[in-house]
Amino acid sequence: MFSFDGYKPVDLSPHVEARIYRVDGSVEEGTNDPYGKPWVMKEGRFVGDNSLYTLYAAPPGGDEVWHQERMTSHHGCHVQGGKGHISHWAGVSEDMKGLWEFPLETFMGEAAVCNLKDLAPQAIKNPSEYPLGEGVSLLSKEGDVRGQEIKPEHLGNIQEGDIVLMTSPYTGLEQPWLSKSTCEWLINDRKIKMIGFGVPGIEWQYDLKLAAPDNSPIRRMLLGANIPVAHPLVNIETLTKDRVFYVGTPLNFVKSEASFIRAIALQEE
Amino acid sequence: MISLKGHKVVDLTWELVSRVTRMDQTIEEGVRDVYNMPWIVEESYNEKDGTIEQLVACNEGTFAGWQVGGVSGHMGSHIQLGVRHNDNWSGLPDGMKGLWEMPIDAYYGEACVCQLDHLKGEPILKEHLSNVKEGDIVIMGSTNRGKDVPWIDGDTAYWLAEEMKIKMLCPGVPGIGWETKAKEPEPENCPTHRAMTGNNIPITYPLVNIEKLTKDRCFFMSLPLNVGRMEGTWVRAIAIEEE
Repeated sequence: MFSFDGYKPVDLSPHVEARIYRVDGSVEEGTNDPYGKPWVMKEGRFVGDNSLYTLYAAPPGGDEVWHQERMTSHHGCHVQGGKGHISHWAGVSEDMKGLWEFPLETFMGEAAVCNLKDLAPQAIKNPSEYPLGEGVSLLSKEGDVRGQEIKPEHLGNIQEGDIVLMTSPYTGLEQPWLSKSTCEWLINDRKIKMIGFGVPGIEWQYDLKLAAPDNSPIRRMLLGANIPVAHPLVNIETLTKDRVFYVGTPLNFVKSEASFIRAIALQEE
Repeated sequence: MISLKGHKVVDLTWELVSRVTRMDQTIEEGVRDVYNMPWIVEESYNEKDGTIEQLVACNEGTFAGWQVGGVSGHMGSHIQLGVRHNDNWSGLPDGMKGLWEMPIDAYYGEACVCQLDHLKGEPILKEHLSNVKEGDIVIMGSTNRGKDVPWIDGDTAYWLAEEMKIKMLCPGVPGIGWETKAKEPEPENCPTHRAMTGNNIPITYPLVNIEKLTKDRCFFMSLPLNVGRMEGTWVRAIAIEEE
C-alpha cells in the first residue's frame, strides 16, 4: 500500500485569509499572498438546504483591496503551464502543453530541495552580473549589492527527472537569480520534471519587456520545455532534508492556463 | 523515500471544461459537472509581462448561464467541512472546525473502496460496508443511475462517523445518494451532512472513476486550498493503488 507513513507533511502553500462579504452585511478583512494579491469572496445562502457558501468574487467594480470584480487563477499558490498562458508569444514551442494535458505524476514525486542561503548578495563589478535595476533603471551598476547568479555547481543535489524546490532567505534585488545558462542545464542536463519557486527567495522573472523572442527568458524556457512552474511557495527553508516528496496537483479544469494548488512536501521523520 | 513505482494514480476528480472567453471575444463553451456547476474564465492580458492570465468567473449579471457571477468553492470535485457552511443549522455540536483548521494529514490516508453496484435503489446499511475499518477514508461508488442509485441512510452515516470514526467520506456522484431529507425541518434535515461535519469529518464529492479502482483498499488524497474561511474548496482527488 502506498503511504506517507513516517513522513511529516510541510505546507509549502502560503496561507491566505479570505476577505469575505457576509450575508449579514459585515466584512471580514483578509490577508494577501506573497505577491500582495488578495482573495475576496462573497457569502451566499443555498436555498436547497439552507447551507452557506462563498463566491470567489469582489463586489461589482471592485473594492479597496481589489480593483475589479474578478480575480485570476494566479492568486495565492498556483501552478502554470505554457498553453493559454504564453502560447501567443512569438517564438514559443508549438508543442507546449496546457496544464490539463500533463499526466498527474508530473505534479508529484521526488524533489530536490535547493535552499541557496549561501548565495549571499555581493557588490557587482559590471551590469551583466544581475538582470535587473532599481527604480526606473533597467540594469544595476558597478558597486550595487545584488543577488548572485545561480549556477549548476550550486545545485549539486538535483538528480535527473527531479522536481526542484528552490528558495533563499534573500529578498528584492538581493535574491539569487536563475540565469538562462543554468535554466538550460536544468532542462537539458537534469531534465527536471517541474519547478517550484519560493517567494521571496529566487529571481526568475526578468527581461519582461524585451521584444519577443527575448522576453521573459526563464518562463519561456521552462514552459516551452513543458516544465510547469509552481509559485509562490513558502517554507522551503524549513525543510531539513535534501530530498522530499512533493505534491501540488492542479485542479481538473480543462483549458485553465493556471490552477490554484495546495503544495506540500513530505519529509522523512 | 516515498515512490510511485509499482503504483498507478487514478484520477477521481470530475473534469470540468472551462467556458473560455478569448482575447478576441470568441467564446468556447464548457462542460459542467454533475450538479450543472460550470467553470468560467476569461482571458486577460497582464501588462507587466505580456502573459495571458485568466480571470475566474464572470461579472455579475453578464452571462445568462451564470447570473450570480462568481464561482463558489463547490464547483466540480470539492471538499467541505462545517464551519461557515452548515454551522448555521440548529442542533449541531460545538467544536466544529473549518477546512483551514484541520491538519494537512486529515486530507490523505488509507481508504477503503465500497463499490455498491449490487444495491439498487435501496439504503446503504452498515452490513453493506464490511470492509470499512476504523479511521478509514471511505470511498463509495456505484454504476447505478436514476432511481437505482443507493443512498446513505441516516443511521449508517452516524455509524460511520461515530462508531467507525472515519476520517473522510468520499461519495461518487452520480452513483451514490449521499444526502437525504434536505427539506426536512431542522434538526432532522440532512443527516449525512450533519453526521460528518458535526464530527469534523470532511466530505469530498462528487467523485468519478471509483469503478476503475481494482483493489479493496488504496491511498486517497484531496487537499483543500490554503485559504482561511473557505467553507469548501476545489480539490484534485486522487487514489493511488498497487499495479
